[in-house]
Amino acid sequence: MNFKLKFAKWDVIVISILTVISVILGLCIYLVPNDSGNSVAIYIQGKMEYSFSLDEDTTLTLYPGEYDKKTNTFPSLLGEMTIEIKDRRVRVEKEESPLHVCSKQGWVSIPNVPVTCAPNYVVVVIESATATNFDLVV
Amino acid sequence: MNKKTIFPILISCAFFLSSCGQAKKDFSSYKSETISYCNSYVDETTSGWNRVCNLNPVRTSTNKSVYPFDSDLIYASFPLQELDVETIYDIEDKMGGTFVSLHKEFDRHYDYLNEDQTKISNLKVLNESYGTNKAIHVDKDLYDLLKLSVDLGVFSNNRFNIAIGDLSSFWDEVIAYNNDQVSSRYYIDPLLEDEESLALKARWNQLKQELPTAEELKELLVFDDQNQTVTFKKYKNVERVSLTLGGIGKGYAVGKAAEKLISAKYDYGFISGASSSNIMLGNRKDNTPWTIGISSPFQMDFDMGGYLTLDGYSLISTSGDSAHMYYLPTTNNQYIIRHHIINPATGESMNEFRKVTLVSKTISSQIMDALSTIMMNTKEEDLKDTFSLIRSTYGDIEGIFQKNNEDETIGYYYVTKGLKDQFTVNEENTHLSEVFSYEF
Repeated sequence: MNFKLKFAKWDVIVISILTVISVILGLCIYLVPNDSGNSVAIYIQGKMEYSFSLDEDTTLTLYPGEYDKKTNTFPSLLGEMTIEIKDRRVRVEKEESPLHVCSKQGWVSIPNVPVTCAPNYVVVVIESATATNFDLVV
Repeated sequence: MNKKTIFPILISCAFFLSSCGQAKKDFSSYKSETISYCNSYVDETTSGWNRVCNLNPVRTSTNKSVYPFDSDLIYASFPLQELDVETIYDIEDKMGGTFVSLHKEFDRHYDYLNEDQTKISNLKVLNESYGTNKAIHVDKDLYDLLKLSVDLGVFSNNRFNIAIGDLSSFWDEVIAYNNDQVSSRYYIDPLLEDEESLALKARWNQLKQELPTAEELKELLVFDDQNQTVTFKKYKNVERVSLTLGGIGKGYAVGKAAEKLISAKYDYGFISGASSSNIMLGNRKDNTPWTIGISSPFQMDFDMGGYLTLDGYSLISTSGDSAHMYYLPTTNNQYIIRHHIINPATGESMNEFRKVTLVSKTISSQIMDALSTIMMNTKEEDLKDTFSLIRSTYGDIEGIFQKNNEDETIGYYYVTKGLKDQFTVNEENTHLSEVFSYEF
């Protein structure tokens, strides 16, 4: 038996299209966020006021006073508050409150585990874009 | 390769690619013009679960827009692959219709109109009839729920009492006021001594004095089974007593909606009534157990304290202090939490447990709703006896009771024997360092 293999015009077209599809799928997979969380959200009085990338080391200082986001002043703050993002972790470094619960909590690197400063009405949380493992949270 | 083989391959690829985007489909485009009870959409925060029939506000007789049962977080959840347009419509109709009609019956604040423009004989109408000795005809749902509520009040020894309508409104206003005053740190509270707080205290004392006990309420509400009427008699010389179904109505509605969905074979999802009244309608499609996250009681309700695994049909009822509350600073650099679950016996919220989670497969949703309130109003020392009494009266039930130490650095979870192997503490939660099992 004698088989002859040769490229036809449509073979080239199909291979090209499949290559493009592979590249697109590869990009899709690359762009899907992983479970380690992407951003740090800072909620003040229940409203998300800031969002920072977890990949960039940042320090934010908030001040008490009349609401003015340009100067980072918020009425619910009892005193100056410093929030630090470093090495994909976040902490409230310094704050004024009776018990200092949130600054005592230290570094957090796990998504959806918040640092909560109740007397200041501030919540800092690493937010994961991917789903939680729970069917329902009560 | 020729054209006949190439085109099917290309079409398959196109379908494959388009299916990649399915996970983020927005069902709002399917919205029927005729159904306005609710909206269905993909919830990107839950894995594979999609909200079907997230309830919309309803219109009162004066065209005011209010959320059923005071919540914009009542919905059903189903896996995406089980949903098509017809299924979504059907679930919306069954669930939305049930919730909206029951809300109109159970609401004590607003009037609603029937299709023929007559006023619905709801709880507000019954409250307005207080002291007139007029028998009010009500629908069966309201009639049955009022009777049950009165019995639950007596059973609970006044830890659950639907006559606290005005007291509940009083605390709602105080909580809302104090939340608005965060910036000035100026609180009003019956515990404080400033002029406004003293006036508040006087009003609070009056409301407490005018509140009939659950036992007394049994004599004030006269039920006529034959005519399905309720007569709300006058209590002593008190000008006004207001009934509320706030601690039981949503549970009733969740139960009724669940019945409808299960009988229509939509039993592979769950209903969540603002997290406080929940029913897992049957087995998960893959027959693995349900995984329920139990949020931590600490402060602002973001933390995950642990998780619970449950098989098949299950009811989960929770009550806690994390929503609708304020921190009242006290003189010794501490604070107490004032929240919306009011103990009728004391007229104020208790700080015994931060959160109560009850689980059952047999007790009705409305009773579960009331029981979680009763347990929030129970002292730790009475926990065992109260729970035993609930079991012998209403059937099998398990529970998780969350507390913490004074500076909120340690969590204490009292877990009943039946849930011991199903509840797992979230060890990544930096707050929780101790868990106790309360065995009974």
